[in-house]
Amino acid sequence: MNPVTQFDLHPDAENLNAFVEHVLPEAEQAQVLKHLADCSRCREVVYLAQESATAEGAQAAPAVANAPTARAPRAWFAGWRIAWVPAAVFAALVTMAVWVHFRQAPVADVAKVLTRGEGETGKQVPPQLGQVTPESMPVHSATALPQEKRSKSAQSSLRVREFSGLAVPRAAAPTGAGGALPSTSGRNFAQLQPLAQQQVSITPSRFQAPSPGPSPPQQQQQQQVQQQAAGTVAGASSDAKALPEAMKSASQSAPVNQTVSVSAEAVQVETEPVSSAQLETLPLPVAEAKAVQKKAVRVPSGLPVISTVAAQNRLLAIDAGGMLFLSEDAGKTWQSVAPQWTGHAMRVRVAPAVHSYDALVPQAGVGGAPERSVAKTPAPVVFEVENDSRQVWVSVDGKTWKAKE
Amino acid sequence: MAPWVALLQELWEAGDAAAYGLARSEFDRILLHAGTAQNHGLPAGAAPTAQQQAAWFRGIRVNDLVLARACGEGHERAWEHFLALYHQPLVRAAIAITGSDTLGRDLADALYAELYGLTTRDGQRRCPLDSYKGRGSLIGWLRTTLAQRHVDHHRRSHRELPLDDPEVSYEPAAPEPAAVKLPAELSALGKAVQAVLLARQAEDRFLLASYYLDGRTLLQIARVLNVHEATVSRKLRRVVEELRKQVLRHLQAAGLSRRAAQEALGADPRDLDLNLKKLLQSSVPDPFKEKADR
Repeated sequence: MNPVTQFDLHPDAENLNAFVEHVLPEAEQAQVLKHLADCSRCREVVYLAQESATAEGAQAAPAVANAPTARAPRAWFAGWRIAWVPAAVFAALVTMAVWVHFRQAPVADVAKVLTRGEGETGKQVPPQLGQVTPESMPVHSATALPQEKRSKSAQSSLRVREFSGLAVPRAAAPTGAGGALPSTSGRNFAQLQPLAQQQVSITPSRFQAPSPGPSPPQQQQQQQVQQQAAGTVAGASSDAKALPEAMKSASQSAPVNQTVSVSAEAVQVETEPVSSAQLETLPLPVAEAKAVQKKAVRVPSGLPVISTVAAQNRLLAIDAGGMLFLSEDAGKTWQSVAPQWTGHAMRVRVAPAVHSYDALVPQAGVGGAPERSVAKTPAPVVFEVENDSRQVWVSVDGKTWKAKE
Repeated sequence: MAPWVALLQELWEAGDAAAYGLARSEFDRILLHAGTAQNHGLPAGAAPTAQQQAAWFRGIRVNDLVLARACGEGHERAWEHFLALYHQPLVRAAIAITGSDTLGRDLADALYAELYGLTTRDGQRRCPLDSYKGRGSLIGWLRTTLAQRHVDHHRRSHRELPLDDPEVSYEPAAPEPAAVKLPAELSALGKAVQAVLLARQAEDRFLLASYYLDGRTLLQIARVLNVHEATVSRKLRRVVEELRKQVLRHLQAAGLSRRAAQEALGADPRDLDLNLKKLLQSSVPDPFKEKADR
């Protein structure tokens, strides 16, 4: 190896190193750069020296970092680093406690169903989750338990989601509905709303008070309805939906001496008066019937409506006084229908649909042979009013009535 | 001489020459000799003032310079200090330069032997450390020296083949292909490129050679030029655009239409009798002035 390399042609190590370290004056820097532009040998030397310096710097950097140099003053909060852990745990616990507290607060408004003969302090059946026994339905009252009982009953109460599919036709009572359910202490059970006349809908927080109860015959009928609905009713939503149908077909009697306490967590159970007749007489399509029922039916008499029916732009309603009202504008205006029946009107409904096949029209067919085509024309809607003696009057327009033959 | 005395005292106290057994008189002698030899950084013939001399002494790496000179003069404690400071870094630098642990250690050992003064010329012991002037760091100087040794060795030996290898057949060199006369457009294009490249500034040619010939990365070029990588990228793009415009201008000046000049620019470079590597580096570098002036 010849250490002497063309000293007259190339910058020496001193200049090249000074160039690499950028310590040359500008004039010499330009001179070396000019040489580097033309000399691949010196360019290579410069790049190799630069790379080795970079590699050495990369190795020296961790060593410098690991050297036990004087430590920089630590921030004042650095010593509290360990304290952050319990602080975070404490904050998490507080957050969880607050969340649990507010989550349980609206829980367990209890609908207390009492039997007629047992009084308001009747025996309570331990609630089954998602279940209401058929014996629990006959005579009803709804009450709100004290706050202490809410939390206890919350664990075994009906859950919100279990009522989520409940959709019972409803008719708002003109009075009493919408208020918070008061305690039933001291109330007469005869004034309590039968369950069958209560629409149970789920809204998120509380019960609503029932309206004054219907007449005793209706109560009796509803008792039969509820006793017929054997099996679980109020558990799953499908069972809840089946409640009206079960009520419709109910005809049996059952002992009515038990109380079922039904509680719901974080739900609001509104009870609004709906007559069993109403439940029966909704011949309209489900969507239309629901639309009609969703609207609060308020008749001019101010009494609660015990039966309504809607068909062909006509809405008929019977109030608690037995008066029949007709509305042809979806309940905006009402006109009273003079009683053309005997007794007390109890129920209004639409007669079962029948089709008339009397429009058999002979037509000329091919070859002159007469053909008979059947024109199926729907019969007009016929309303029926039933009195307390089970006698029925019919009407097409809702104004003029005649006894059904 | 009072300012001198104060300055030398200050440099003596700031340095650690006493740590490797250098006497104060030797320290003063080394510094004064180095200053006189380099004329305190001024051109030859200029008379430096006391401030210029002081500025020069404060601008150089006195410690490294004194250590190098002490080693060059054979002070054992200075050598011990030198080895303690630079042995491992020098080996690592040699390994990084050669890319091989074995070659790197060989290179470092060879340099050590040379530095220790085993080489003699005209009966005198020669130490490369005597050429260190303290402008850059001593370790940088050592790295650069290693790189020089490695490059020179590689350039000398990379074409060598072992003579006793029976599998290697030595064929006579192929005759030079007959010169083919190029079309006028291509000939004009070669001349234009050559003229344009030679007219570029040194920095532009350095960029082009480093990037396109040496294959250096933008980061490597940026480190050498002490600029940002993006700056190198912008400069390169600008240089290439200007080169294209200037070549077009040259072609048009040579009588080609603009369209013909643009078509000539699209010629296959292999059709050109133009070796860019030769063109950029065949320009025999001017003798480095400092050495030439020496």
